[in-house]
Amino acid sequence: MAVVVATGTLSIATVVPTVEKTMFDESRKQEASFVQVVADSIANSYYSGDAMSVQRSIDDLIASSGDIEYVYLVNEDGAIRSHTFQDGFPVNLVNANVIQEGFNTEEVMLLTSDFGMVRDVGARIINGLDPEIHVGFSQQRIIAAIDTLKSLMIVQMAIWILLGSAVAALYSRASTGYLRYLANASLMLGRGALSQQIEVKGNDEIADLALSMNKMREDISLKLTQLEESEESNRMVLDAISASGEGVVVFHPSDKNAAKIHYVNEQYLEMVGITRKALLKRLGRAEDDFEAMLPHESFRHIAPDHREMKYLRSDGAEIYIETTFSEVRYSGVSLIMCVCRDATERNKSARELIQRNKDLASLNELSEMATGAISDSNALQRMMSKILVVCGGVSAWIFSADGRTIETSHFQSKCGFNERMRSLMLGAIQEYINDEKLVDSVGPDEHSVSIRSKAFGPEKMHVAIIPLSRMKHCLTGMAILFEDDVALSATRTSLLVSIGGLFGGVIENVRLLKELQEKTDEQSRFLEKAISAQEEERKRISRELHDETSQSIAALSLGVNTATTMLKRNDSSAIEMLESLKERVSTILKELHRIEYDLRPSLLDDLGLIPALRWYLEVRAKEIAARPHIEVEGEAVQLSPQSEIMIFRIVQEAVTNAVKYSNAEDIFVRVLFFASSLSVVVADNGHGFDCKSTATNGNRASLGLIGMRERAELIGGTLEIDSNPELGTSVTLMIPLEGEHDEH
Amino acid sequence: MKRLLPFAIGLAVCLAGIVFMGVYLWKDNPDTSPVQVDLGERLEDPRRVVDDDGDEIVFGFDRRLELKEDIKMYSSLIGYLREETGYEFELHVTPSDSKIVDELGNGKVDIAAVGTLGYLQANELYDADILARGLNDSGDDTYRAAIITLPNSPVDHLTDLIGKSFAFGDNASTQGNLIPSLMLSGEGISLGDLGNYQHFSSHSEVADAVLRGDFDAGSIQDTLASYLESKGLIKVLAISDKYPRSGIVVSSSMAEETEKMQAIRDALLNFDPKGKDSKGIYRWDMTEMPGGFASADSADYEDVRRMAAAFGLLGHDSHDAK
Repeated sequence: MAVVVATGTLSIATVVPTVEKTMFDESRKQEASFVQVVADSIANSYYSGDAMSVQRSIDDLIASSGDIEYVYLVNEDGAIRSHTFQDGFPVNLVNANVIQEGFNTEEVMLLTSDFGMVRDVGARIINGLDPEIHVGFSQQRIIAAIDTLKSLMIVQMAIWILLGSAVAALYSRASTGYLRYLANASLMLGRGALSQQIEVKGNDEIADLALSMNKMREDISLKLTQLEESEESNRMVLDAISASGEGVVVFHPSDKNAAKIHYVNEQYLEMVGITRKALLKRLGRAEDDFEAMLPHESFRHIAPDHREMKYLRSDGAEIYIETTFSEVRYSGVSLIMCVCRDATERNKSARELIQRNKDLASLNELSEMATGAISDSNALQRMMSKILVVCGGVSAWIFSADGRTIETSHFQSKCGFNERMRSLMLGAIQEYINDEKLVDSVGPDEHSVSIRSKAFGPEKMHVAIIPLSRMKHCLTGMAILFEDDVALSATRTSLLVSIGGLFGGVIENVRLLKELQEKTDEQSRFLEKAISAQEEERKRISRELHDETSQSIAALSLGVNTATTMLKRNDSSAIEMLESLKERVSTILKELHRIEYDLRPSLLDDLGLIPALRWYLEVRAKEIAARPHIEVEGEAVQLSPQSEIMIFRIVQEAVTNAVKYSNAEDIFVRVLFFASSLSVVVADNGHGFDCKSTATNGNRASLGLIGMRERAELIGGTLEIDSNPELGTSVTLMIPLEGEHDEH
Repeated sequence: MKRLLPFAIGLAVCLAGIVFMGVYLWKDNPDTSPVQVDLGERLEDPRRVVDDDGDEIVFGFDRRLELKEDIKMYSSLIGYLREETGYEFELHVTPSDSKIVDELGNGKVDIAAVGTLGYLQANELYDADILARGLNDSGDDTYRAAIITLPNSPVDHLTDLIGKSFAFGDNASTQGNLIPSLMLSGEGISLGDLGNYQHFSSHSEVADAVLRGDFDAGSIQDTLASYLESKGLIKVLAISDKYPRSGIVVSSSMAEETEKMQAIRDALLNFDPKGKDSKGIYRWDMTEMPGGFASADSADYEDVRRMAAAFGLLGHDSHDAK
């Protein structure tokens, strides 16, 4: 209301004078135009010298216009010839309004004694020339009109001010109340009360404001809901990422080479080896370089990006982290989100795989080399050289040890050979032998590869002992000298085991090949022996048949003929002949039985081993009048036919030798059944023999010994021959019974 | 306090506005300070004191158009001359009972813009001298006269004017008197063959007389005739041959002031009413010299002089109207 009053008053103060001035100006312009027109209209008459016409014209002006008080003309000489005044021209008016040189019009406000306020407007009759015409315009009417207008305006203004004030007061009361309500509503909106609808009153701009506020409330509410949902989804995303075990850190990069952490999960902290407390503590110190905490080289990159990098944890562990980072926007701020996963194991596996592939390739190469190593002695050297390259060793030695002695062979070195190296390797081997129990097992394994370390000043050297094969207290192994710790790793140990297995296989193959060769030779010799023995046997049988049986049968035949003749002659001595022939037949039969039994005793097939042995012993012992002794101890088990014939033949040979060569008075055969083995001992108390020279002299006796051993080996057993001139000879056969049990 | 600040600022602005407007409205407002004048004392022969050094060059002119138009045109020319020469000029209007030719002779006028016949008369009678000759829009220093009638007049040829009334221009007017006389004479029509004739003081008066229907025909300057014909107000019966244009003539006494004459001649010859000098000039296209001025010599007028003499237009009596 005060504003209305003030503006109303101000309006009056500014408008009234403006109107007054405008009216006066307008009046002035009109008067000046009028005078110009009058001047123009009388120019012809004036310059024609028609004074009468001029006078009439100016008189008509006075008569026609109530506002013109006077008119007068001034000629080029300054004389006022024509005017409308009665009784002369006012002397004070002569110079009241003089048009200046160079001007064509002039006006002046006069307060005249006769006419009151008069505006004297002068104009040159023709511009540029001296003659002037002046018209005196009365201002009374204008002044009166202006005064009237002013009064009217003031009154009207006052009325409108009052009305306006009243309306303003009422409207103000109405609108401010509503505005106050809207102001409170906006405060409530600011505090978050978005659910309450704002009441809309009226249909004006304030109502539009209320509608806008409602719209704004709805929009804000919607945006808040979306924001909450976005927040929730962000949290869910981060939780999901965390649940997958990956580390997440969201940070805000700044220009000062430092980052502000916005979010970090436990998986991340655990991955980089820092606690949340420590992280927060470090965050509190602005001078810290935050990059040290983050496994990133730089985080001012475009997203998304993916890289893997090595990171040193605070506990000194070196890990590999696979990082994906991308730029995200949160609450209008640009942030960097980094998802990390520990790639250490995978890298390790990858490296191990690569190394494994390398190792396999090397092993493959070694295998190929091994194929030729069997027949090529230099191939072993080459293999050892390759092994050093593959495993990173400096020197390698093949050794054999039986617990008492160590024999070395096939040395290979990258850097030559020196006493220190020899001493170290031998020492390691000896230590190994001393520590390990030499049991029968085949091939090395992870548990048997042994690393012995020795310090030489600042250097530390390691010797890896790889057992290649173990046979009856004899260990074959490889010693490899390392100058670094590469041998200590598990993968290297695994490689050494593989190398050991491969090389051990090669060594074994070489040995087996040698054995095979020896066996082949022995088998050839045995075959020869067997064939020879067979031929001898056939000869013997042939001889026996020829010498004895044939002769006997021939004699028998002769006797039969004789008997026949005698019978024909009814010779009484035919009966004696026939009786003699009958005894000869019986003898022949015994000889044939003996030959038959020599070949294969039927007792063996019919009654088994023990009866066969007993029979044979008794029969053969009688030949030299030795006393046979047979003992059976333990629970007898049924042996396989092959084992029985082999045992029989061994005993047969031993007994035969005893009969032929020992001159013994007693021949003993002991059969001892153990739980898992069978022992058969053939002993005599004869004069013994030299086992060594007999076994190697190549005669029938040695062949017989060889045959016994081979027969023993054929059934998985062992044969020991012990002979002493004073104690006689004992032949001990030991065979395992597991196969026998399985076979039966 | 904060709430009151905008109000206080607004109030201050309003007050400043009021003060400004008050100053603006009342400043130099003559309405607020009238001059008190007592009109009681009267005079019979009131007169202002006027500075008059009496050294102005009086410039006269023969009437062509409406007097005030002539005055406006020539006052603008003397304004140019004043500017160019530095001399003071005074425009003189020849009273109706006087002639410009005579005023050139009796010293009332020093220099005048007159027609060809006027110059010949002034030269014949008073040894006035031609200073410069006018040029038309095309730069031509000749002009023509036109004999006109009303558009619906039955008069179609000059020969139809026998027995008809005819309005001539001023006796001294070449276009208004001499040339049309020659045109009529060329058709074998003498003044006696006309029903009646009268001389008017300007081409405009002749045109007015014909337009009012007071006369069957009249003779005026070709430029005015073209203008009126373009408005459809008159019909041109005939256009004359070319004759030397009006010019600026000086009195014999003025001619002796060689320095002034030279200055005035130079100014006239440099006058460019269509170009640089067009701004201060009033409707110069309606004059006899719309294109400016060229130098002139009395020898240029010998042929016209003979014709005028033949028509008896060069003597004193030639001024009188019939």
